[in-house]
Amino acid sequence: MPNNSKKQKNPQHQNNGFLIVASVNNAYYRSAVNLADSILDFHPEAKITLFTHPELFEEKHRHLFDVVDLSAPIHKRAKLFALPKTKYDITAYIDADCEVQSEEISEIFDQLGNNDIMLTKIRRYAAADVRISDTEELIWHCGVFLYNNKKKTLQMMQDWWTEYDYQITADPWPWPEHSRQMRPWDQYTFYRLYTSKKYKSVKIDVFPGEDARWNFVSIYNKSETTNHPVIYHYTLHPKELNAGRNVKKS
Amino acid sequence: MAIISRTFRNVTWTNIETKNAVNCEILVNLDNGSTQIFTAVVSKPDDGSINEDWEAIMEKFGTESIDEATTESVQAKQAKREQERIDREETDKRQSEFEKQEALFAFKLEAFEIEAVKNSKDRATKALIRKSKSIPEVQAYTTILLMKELNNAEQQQKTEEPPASE
Repeated sequence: MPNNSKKQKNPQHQNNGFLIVASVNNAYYRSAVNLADSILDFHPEAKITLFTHPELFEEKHRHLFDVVDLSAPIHKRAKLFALPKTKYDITAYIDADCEVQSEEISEIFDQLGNNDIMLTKIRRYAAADVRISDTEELIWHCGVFLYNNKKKTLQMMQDWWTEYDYQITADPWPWPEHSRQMRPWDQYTFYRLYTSKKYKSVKIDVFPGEDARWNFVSIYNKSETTNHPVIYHYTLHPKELNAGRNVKKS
Repeated sequence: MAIISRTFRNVTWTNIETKNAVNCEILVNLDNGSTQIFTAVVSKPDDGSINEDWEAIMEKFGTESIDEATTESVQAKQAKREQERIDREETDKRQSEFEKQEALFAFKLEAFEIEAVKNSKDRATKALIRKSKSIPEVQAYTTILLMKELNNAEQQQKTEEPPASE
């Protein structure tokens, strides 16, 4: 449970919190619970919001969360639905298949500085598909990121959801200058948004220092960081997903 | 369409020892401005007759130049094969590491679902489990944590038990 006395000592952190989304399969829910547990292991005062479905949520886990919202759609990119609904001043979104491994997690919100959104960079050697066109490629890994609650930033988050929905269904492919292979990737939607005129004023930057420490994907080269990662990004084993209970759309 | 000219390129020996045939590309330029490219093997006839293509190639390139091109081509092929082997090894290594990490995560999830581990207030040992880089490490620290929890439970039970009456 959050410790109110400690929170009062750090007023600048009062309204900052973590956002976790678990959808589609209960393997992601189990993983989300582990992630929340790991955040609290290293940062007991942390506030965490969980977006999931009633079919997945177990009441015994409520104590881990500051807010439990059961309105998440059954969708592999349900995170995009949840992002604009944050209640925090600064939100740290973390993919459910991550685990916190350092006390430095309590410093995550300080990293944002004067930026609106802060992410880590994709490593080409560890990415499935980064090529958008002959001259453009995906840069940002969207598994862990910070964002503030400015109107423009939240509007961008809202558009990320609506634009993604358009991207995966639009026929014919609306961006012939870009590879169709980009269709399933929410990073591509993000790319379209941050390169658009509408969001030119949104300040985006990479986590300072060794950005990989904040989103260390399990197949990254060890040389990416000199210190232990703060957030380790695993991938759920197919066995876990197969064994997990899928939530069916009604 | 009529043929205006024929030229040859990428000429290498099929066998650098015997030097009696070459691999090459033949570029056929047509009167409509287009060029057709054919991959061919041109041989030196062994019955004493004349092969015009062979004669043209030998006149244009000469054996020394074909020797050099053949050596370069063999070296390039070897380098390509070596690079492919390195890439394949790198991919296999990464895939193997990926699978290892998937298994490690699955194991950790199970460890943290053990009630005594989940409810433990021993954050230092829990942190060691979380930072573990292999399944045996997770197992070892989980066992240590469980033993500590059992000891704590025993101690607590002892302090709660009323002293035995005489």
